[in-house]
Amino acid sequence: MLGQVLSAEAPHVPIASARLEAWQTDGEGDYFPANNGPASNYKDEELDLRGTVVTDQIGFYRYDTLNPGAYYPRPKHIHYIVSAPGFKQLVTQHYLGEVGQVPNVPCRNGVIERSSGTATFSAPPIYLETSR
Amino acid sequence: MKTKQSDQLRLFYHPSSSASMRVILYLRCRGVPREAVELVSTGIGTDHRGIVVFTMPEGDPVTEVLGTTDLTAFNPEGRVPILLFPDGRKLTQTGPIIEYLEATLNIPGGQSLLPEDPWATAEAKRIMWIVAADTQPYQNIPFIIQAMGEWGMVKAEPTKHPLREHYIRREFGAIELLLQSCAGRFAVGDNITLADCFLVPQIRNALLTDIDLDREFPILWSVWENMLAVPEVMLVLEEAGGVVQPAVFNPEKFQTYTKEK
Repeated sequence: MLGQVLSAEAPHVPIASARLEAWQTDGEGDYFPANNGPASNYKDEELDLRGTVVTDQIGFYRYDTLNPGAYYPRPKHIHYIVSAPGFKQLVTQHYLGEVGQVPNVPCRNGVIERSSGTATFSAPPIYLETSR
Repeated sequence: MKTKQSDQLRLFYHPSSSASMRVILYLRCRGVPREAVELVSTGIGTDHRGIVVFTMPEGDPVTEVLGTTDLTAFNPEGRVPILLFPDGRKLTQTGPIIEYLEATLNIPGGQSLLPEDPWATAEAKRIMWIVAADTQPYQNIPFIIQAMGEWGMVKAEPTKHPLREHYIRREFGAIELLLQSCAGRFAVGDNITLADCFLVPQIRNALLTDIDLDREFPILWSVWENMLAVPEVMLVLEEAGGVVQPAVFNPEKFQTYTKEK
């Protein structure tokens, strides 16, 4: 996954040191843990496919992960909580499906460059609104 | 033939014109809706001496009314950019174009590219003027070709001409010292200002010289890199042919011209 976090307000400058907390399913469409509730309810070995990544000086983040599986009725996606000082926290998802397969949601669609083996997902930008 | 009157602002520009790029960077960084100002690319050619000139776009209603592609019939300065109003008024010169748009366009949201603090605005305008008045004219390719061909200036590849490199070095050196006290992430503080919109095309011009910009002007270079990280800025550069500017003048015609003298 490769993407950039930007200010929602023109001129849309990159946001450095933004935190992205990500969680997703495995290839079968299952979350770890499969049950609901906060992560603190679970032991470390029961948690997987979650993590936090911080953007660099020019707002970019990059991490390696599994290609998530879809679960009915949703196309495959990765969840995020994105936060940065001075900006409103944003809860959003990146959809990894084909164009037309994804519902009409604020976070725009992206495309996987290769379909088998290692692939780079050039994610659409994530825009954060200022909190003033 | 009756031509349809446009009801929107039209900016005549050329992708190779660094002055045009200042205005386009302002429009994009300011978040001016794309439909508010139509971008109209002019043509480019060489005159009888081999000097690069901009021409009116073929087939444009304005060109048809003028009856010529000679740009000086539209703008006596023979330069771009030119802002054309629906009522026929024209405005030239990048600073006045930008300041007029900022004062009159109703732009939803976004940040002004001139800081609220008058001193910071003065610092931004100082850099604008150094670029527009003291740097760009002396490194302008048509000027250099004309000086070599007509007035016997030392012959050299126009983009790397010693005069060009001298003035870029001289003025970038001055800007670098100013940036020591006013730059943050961008030229004046941590927000993009008009100074950055003027610096980016000038730095892009300087990339064509042999000057080692990142070593000689490290703060200026960090401003350039931070501007390239802004997607709207990168989009403007890509639409103008890439981060490194493609050549537009014809070296063969240039050779003919200098040999004749």
